[in-house]
Amino acid sequence: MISEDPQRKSKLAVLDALRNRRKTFRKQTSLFKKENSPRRTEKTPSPIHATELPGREEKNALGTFLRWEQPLRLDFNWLKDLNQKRNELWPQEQNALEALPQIRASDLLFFDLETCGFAGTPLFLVGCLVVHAGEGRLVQFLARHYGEEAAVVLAASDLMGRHGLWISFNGRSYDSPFFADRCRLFGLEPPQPLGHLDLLHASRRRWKHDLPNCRLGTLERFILGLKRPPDTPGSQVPAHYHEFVKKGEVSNILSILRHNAQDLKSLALLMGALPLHKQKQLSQRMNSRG
Amino acid sequence: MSTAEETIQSVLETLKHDPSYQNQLCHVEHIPAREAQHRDVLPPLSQGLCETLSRYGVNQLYRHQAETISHARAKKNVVTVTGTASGKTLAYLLPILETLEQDSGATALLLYPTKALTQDQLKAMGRLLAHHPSLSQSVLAGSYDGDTSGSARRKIRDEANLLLTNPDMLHRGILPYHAKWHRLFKNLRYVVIDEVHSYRGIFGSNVGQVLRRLQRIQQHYAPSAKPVFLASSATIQNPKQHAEALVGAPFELVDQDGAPRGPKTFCFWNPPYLDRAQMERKSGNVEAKDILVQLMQRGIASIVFTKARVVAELIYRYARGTLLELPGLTNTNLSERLTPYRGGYLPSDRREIERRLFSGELLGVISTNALELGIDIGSLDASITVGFPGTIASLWQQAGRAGRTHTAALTLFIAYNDPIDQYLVRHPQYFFEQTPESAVIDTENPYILASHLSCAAFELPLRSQESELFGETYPELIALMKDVEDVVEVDGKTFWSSPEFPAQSVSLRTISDNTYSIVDVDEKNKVIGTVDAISALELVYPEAIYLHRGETFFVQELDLDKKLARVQKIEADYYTQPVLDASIKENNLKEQQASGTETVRLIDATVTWATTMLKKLQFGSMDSIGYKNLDLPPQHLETVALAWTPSPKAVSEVFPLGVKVSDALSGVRNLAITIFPLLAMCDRADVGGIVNASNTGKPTLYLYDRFPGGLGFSERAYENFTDLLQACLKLVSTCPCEAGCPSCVGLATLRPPIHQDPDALGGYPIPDKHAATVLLRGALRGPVKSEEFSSFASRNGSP
Ligand SMILES: [Zn+2]
Repeated sequence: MISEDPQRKSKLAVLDALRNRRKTFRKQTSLFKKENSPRRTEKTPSPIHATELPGREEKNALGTFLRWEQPLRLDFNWLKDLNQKRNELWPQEQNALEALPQIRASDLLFFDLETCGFAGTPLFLVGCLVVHAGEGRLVQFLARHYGEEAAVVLAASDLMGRHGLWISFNGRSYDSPFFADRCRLFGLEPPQPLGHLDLLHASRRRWKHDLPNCRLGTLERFILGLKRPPDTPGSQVPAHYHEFVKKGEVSNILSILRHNAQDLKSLALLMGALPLHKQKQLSQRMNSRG
Repeated sequence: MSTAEETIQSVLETLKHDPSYQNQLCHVEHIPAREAQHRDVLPPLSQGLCETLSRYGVNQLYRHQAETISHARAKKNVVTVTGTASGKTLAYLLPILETLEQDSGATALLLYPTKALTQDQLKAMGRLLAHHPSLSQSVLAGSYDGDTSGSARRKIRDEANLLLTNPDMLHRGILPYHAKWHRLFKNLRYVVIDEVHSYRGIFGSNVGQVLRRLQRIQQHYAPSAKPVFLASSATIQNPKQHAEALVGAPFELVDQDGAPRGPKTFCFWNPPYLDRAQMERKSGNVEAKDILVQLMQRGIASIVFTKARVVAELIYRYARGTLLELPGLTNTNLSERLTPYRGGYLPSDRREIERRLFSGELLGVISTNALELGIDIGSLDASITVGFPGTIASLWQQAGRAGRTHTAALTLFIAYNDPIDQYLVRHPQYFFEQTPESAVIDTENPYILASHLSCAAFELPLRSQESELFGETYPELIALMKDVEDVVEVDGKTFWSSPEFPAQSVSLRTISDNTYSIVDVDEKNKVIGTVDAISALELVYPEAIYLHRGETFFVQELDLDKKLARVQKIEADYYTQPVLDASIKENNLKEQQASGTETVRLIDATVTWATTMLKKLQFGSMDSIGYKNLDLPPQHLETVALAWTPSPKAVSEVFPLGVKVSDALSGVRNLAITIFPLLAMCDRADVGGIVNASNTGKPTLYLYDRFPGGLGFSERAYENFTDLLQACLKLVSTCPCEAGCPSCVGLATLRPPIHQDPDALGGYPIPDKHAATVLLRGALRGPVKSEEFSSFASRNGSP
């Protein structure tokens, strides 16, 4: 029973509350004698703060959610190159594309999840970037509270299932299994793409020796030449969402929506900037950018 | 008379005719042999299973196996109470295999209290499955615990039919990630709970909640299915009621053990006095060693059970020395067929010892209660228990380790020179007439329940109708969780709403899972063993002699930051014992109340203990050859305590007896620790009691929760203080003993710290029974009304 041992004392706030309110609690429930006690019946309102959020409410078999769709002007010319030069790709990438002999623009789906953290927690935002009639469309599905997650998963799963090639950043090990878990939780069969390109792995293969790391921010700066203003740090995202659900604090959610949209846009740009053959070109690029 | 019986009788005769024999054998109880009771299952098992069984060497099922299978087929939960080696694994495995023959996608979850037992049972299953023509191909059994490798984890998650794990892993590693285990939950047909009696007290109350969480997750994935629970238990007073409380569902009881059993001779052995004044007795450890050597020389496979790790090492060292000194090559070989076994050895070393025991390579083992649980070590002929293990159930379970199907077995209980042990050898019938203890849990303990409701909310939103599963305090606890903003209610469902991972903050056991490594500096810092954080300061303090498989290691350094003890092998002729100092400090008065003349307080308290000194003791003689002061950080337990300082009026009634008030109060403390668990629905080991005067200047009784922050045990004792004193008085005044016994003022579980050699310590005296009675009467003013006690007893089961 070493006091420093972090395992020893539970940090759950409810236990402290129970200790502090033991007297009133005991009067209500009388733990030893088990008398019946009046129960609290206060009603908590549903925390839906739709008014200040963009997009519109939609409904499917599993409930309501918020859908926000925006056009996004992007260049998808790299697709032609990708189809032509696929033999020059790394073997892992060729394997990922094997089931797609000819990739069409309508196959493409960039996606990125925002979740409450580690496995087992809920997700609350699925951002997708697809090409529709030659133009990029950004679709974001937001759960305005935990109860809307099921409908978000169903809606996103529909969209994702209709696209054969998924492109993500670390999605093979994080977003995709995470999404599959949430599908199973809600009794849905997880959608499966024909191919899944993970741009984190693709970037590492190309630039791991030239860049300090292969985080998306680093790639944006050195490869895409973008400068992003600092926004919500990833580690704070879960806490912001919980605050939003409990207190209706909208500003942080708006910033997470923007952040998610920017991530997707960067993925599409990064895809265009990806050298399709195993040639080192980075040093020239970096030099030319100063 | 069979040969085995003759051997046992001749060993006893030899011991009795030894020139040094002084009537050590104070009681012999003959437990007759039991015939096998076979039973067929109807309808019979499948062809495939029958063939498997006959290849496995089983041609007929025992009655308890057949009964268990019938209940399982009828989809009824069942708890099977049987002895060691009675084929309980088969009893719960056959219904599962029968289901798997019909549905190859079915799954079963099997829970074991320890990793060691999990591995043992996995091997046993493998041996049986190997004989089945089709299931050996189609069924995957796998264990999932802290030792499972990353790649194996995925395969087990995705493919295993039989998942073997422990409640801790279920709590932290499976339930929170249930979506990854959807296949297991969707197809879950059976839940096996092995050694169900080990889930008692705080641990059991926690496991009860984990099992409720398991059931709601199973219901989420397969709302129309209901898995059958198959539990096995050692003999306790309340197996059916205990299993029902743990799972929260009705159980059938199968307690007619149909396995045959040879006759058993159960002896009580009291080491002789060393001096005419009859003060000191011969060391119980040395006596155990002498008998073990005799048994081994006659080829009798034997196990010695000790109360402390250090004792297992000491007896091993003594026995090895004796065997090596005896003339003849056989005896040298015998020393290699003996080993100690205890917690703190590396898992690989433990598996190796278990294997050698099972195969019969080893003839003798000296073990702590680590081998009391059902690990299959094959059959042994003799068991020796040195010192009363604290509970009747435990001593019977240790005795159960000796005995084969048809041959005779010997069990010896060797007493230390301590009051409880001496009481038992003076009154052997006390032991044979006692019913084994009950296993007690409380699945409505609000603190434990609140912890698990947090975990449950994380796993799936809570619904109002789940009161049925979690009991009547559920709505209030949910309200409290909302107040602290851990959860939020949306559309009638309560969701977890915090970045915390609650399962990480909730430990099922009171024992720390924080471990220290013991490394050998001469062997490139190779890890030779481990020790838990609490024990480290009592076992591997600087300059200690750490005994490991009979060798002496000198502790150079205990590094608290790196959690390392650096040791070096040396040849020492002594061992060390920590000298501990325990105290209690009152921090904060929470509440107080008066009852007649007495005032009782509920306080926040800090219980502190520290290793202040080490004592060097010569091997064998236990002569003290030196002390050394130590400067080690004390260990603290911040908890809640009840404090009672008897009033001057109550105390004045004790004075004429010529007994110290603190002695009378110690008797009350021991009575209270017997009653307290019934009142607070916990295990004796979950609460502690101290009598001292350091805070108030007067002898004061403290009863505290052995859990950081407290779990409401002292609270209940405080709320029902008069009940508690009356129950104590009733217990002591109706006890038929003359001057105090382990059932009343002489508490059997009040033990020296776990890492001390009881032989060198002497134990605690049994306090004065009369003085305790007088003090209680004084405090309660007048005789106890008998109907008050009987209503209390009927509510809680009589002590
Ligand atoms: Zn008594």
